[in-house]
Amino acid sequence: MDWSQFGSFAARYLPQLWNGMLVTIAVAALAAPTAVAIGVVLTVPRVAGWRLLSGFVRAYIEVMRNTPLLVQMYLLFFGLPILGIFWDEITCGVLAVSLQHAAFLSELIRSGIAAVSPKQWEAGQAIGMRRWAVFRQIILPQAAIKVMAPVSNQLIVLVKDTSLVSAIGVLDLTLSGKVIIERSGASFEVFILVAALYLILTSVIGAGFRISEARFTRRLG
Amino acid sequence: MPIPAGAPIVVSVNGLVKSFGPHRVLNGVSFDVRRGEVVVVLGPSGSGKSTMLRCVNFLETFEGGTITVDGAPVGYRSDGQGRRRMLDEKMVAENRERVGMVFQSFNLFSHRTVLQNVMMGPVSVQHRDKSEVRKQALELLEKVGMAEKADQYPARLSGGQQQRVAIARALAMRPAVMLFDEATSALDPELVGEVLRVMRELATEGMTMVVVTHEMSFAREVADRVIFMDGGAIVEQGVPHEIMANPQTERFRSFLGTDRPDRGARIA
Repeated sequence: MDWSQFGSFAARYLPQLWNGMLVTIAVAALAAPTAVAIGVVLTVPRVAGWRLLSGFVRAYIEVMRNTPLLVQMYLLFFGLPILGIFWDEITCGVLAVSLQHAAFLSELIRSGIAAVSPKQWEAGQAIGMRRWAVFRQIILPQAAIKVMAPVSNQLIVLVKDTSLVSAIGVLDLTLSGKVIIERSGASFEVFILVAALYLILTSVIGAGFRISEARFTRRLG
Repeated sequence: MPIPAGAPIVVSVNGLVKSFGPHRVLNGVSFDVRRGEVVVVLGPSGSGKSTMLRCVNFLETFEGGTITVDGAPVGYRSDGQGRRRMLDEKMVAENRERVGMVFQSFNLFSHRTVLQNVMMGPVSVQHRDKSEVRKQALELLEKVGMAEKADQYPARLSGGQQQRVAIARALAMRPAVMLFDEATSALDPELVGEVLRVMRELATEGMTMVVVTHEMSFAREVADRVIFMDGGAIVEQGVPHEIMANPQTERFRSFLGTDRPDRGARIA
């Protein structure tokens, strides 16, 4: 391996990797809000105490957390067509990532709400607030601040997990790298570049969260 | 300052019974609080005094007896056929507007500033005009000596400061009665005084107060009436300088004996 050539090698393949990176960003940008939205919906029955629905949600979370994302993705991409449902690889990829991360996010959100002291409920009720008002104005905002750090961690895992969509043929950053390797044979150099690009992406997200988190958690002390 | 016997009754507790599982914590407690009266409730831990106080704004349910605040039933009503029905959430909440509560652990809303804490009830529950509420809130904060901290978050304040804000928050609702549930028990000894001073000031202004506390000197100097509870029942009650100087029961005598300031207990 001739490292003196690394600069020109990088310059030659970066544009192609950049296209893959845009696909990765797109997949993550679709999957993250979807996962958060599903995660919130999954949390509602458990916080509201709807027994039957909570049971379904718990079962869903157990299955999702305890089977590999790659297998779930294969099930959607190769399994659904057998049922007559044909979704393209991006849809299946985004959906698989969203469905699994929604399970993890729901657990985080639920524990964040549970972590707000019951005494905050009492204090709200003591000034004449109804339960829903206490939840919305006091419990939820405090829970949101508490879950910011774990949720940002989870979203960084989500970004990294999008690399699995390469396995069902989405030409993301990972698959773009593999394509270049097929042609150049320089697997080490290419994967260094791929890893560096992922690192940049996750660092930007992490920094964004840390800034907003620092702003809010300072208040809670 | 004696309360005239004809002063209207603000809080009326009649035959209050409450259990936690098989354990009965309140065993038929009855007493009235008249407007402007300061009632201090003393008793060993586990005597039911805090539970009794929490029943008054229905933070605890109860199985027997009735409570009224300003004549309105708390928690339950009779359905006309002698059965008691729990009031709906709206009526329970409306009752709580008349009752200010100060907790042992302050329980300020940690995501809101001091000023926002005080304004929340009047604005969000009573839908009063925001600029008027703001003016009132700042006056209350001035009164409890916390005006200069109006824009701080609670985490930045000492326990005594937080408790003074909590008192202002409760007062902002313009309650008919203020309940203090061991308001100084969680405080470092050097911070107890600043909270008791605010409570004393409220008492002299004529606020109706029910105070559960271990502060003997507060009971002796501020209370119009002292109630001593033990085992879920009122054992003795009366004017402090009479019953505290001359307790009629062995239980109250030994309680006062073990809790005397000169034996190293709390000093106000």
